[in-house]
Amino acid sequence: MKKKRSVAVAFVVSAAILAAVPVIFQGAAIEAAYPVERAWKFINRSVFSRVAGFFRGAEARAENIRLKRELAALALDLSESADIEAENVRLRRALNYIEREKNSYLAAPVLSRGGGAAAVRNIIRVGKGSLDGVCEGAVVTVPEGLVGRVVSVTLHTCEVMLLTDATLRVACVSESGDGGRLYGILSGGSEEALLLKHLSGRDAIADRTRIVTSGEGGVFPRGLEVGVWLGGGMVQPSVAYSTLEDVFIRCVK
Amino acid sequence: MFLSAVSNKRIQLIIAIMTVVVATALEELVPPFFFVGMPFLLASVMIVAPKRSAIAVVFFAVAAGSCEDAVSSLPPLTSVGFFLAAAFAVRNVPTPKVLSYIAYPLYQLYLAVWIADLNGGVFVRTFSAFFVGALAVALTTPALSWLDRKAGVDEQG
Repeated sequence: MKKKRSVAVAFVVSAAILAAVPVIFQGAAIEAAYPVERAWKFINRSVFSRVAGFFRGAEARAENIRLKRELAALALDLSESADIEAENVRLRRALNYIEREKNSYLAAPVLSRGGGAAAVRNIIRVGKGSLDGVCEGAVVTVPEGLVGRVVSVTLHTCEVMLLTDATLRVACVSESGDGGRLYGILSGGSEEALLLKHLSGRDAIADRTRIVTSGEGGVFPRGLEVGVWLGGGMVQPSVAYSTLEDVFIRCVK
Repeated sequence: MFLSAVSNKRIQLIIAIMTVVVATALEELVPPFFFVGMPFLLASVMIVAPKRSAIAVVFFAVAAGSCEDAVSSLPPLTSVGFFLAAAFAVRNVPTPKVLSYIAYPLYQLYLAVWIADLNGGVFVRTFSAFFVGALAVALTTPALSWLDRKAGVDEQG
């Protein structure tokens, strides 16, 4: 009887310790699942992509040639922009302007889009964490535009809240050629349309006008594309959130 | 059933932890269907609970709940409380299978009590949870039975 009771106490104590581990080390469970997710990503990329590439054949070769040309063109653009950047820095110093922040972008694979069974928020988990220098609040982008913001970080992974989540608010502005601007706060939405609320400034702008981040609030830098204006407070996102494969985390140096 | 054939307690513990870890990873990897994810952790708890000792079930439910909280970005112990209550209920109702199938919609209602602005809204989530939960239980049951057979190390005894 006594032995049974001590075994029961031992189990309950170990259960309490087990419950306390995630409270104290919040990333423990995620870190434990990380190797399985990473392995799946590896298999997906190294096996399934190759099989798919084999069947695509000529199409894949044509895409490869096109991408090589694009890369060469971008390399030329980059060499030109390096000169312009150096000139910009020199002139800013001469005028005593505040120097721009230097950013670097960390490429990270999207590990999962599940967010668990509860899936209470629109989040994705990506495969870079605090060991790679990712910090909470970092801005996440892709070449098409803004993806979201890092909301939690573990050693090897981080959680990115997408723009479609209603709790993520982003100050935005329209980019119109004739000088009139529309300001608003982006407050979630769906893959098809994001909602722009608290509109001010010019209320009638042309359809398909680009909507970019305004930089107000200091969280998101200015000029990152969010989508195009559809009218009636709706913005068509420039990023396909459900098919993201890799993202870029902006790290301020 | 699950782990019953394994005589060594340490092996039981390792297999239980591995089951929870794999279920956590699978939950993360499977994208949500109509706003709700695949509840592999809850399904494992519901399958394991009627057939194991109370202490082992508490251990399993706490581990699974903690992982659920972690991957779902829920406040600590939110799912732990529900998983423990569900495990206790499934051990004491005359129709545990029925409860296994409706546990996930109940979990959505439970979440709606604690979390404001649930993604998708509580009615849509509860409705889709019926189907997703049933699918998860249907997938998890044979997987755990298979694991039980493969992990049976005391077959001679």
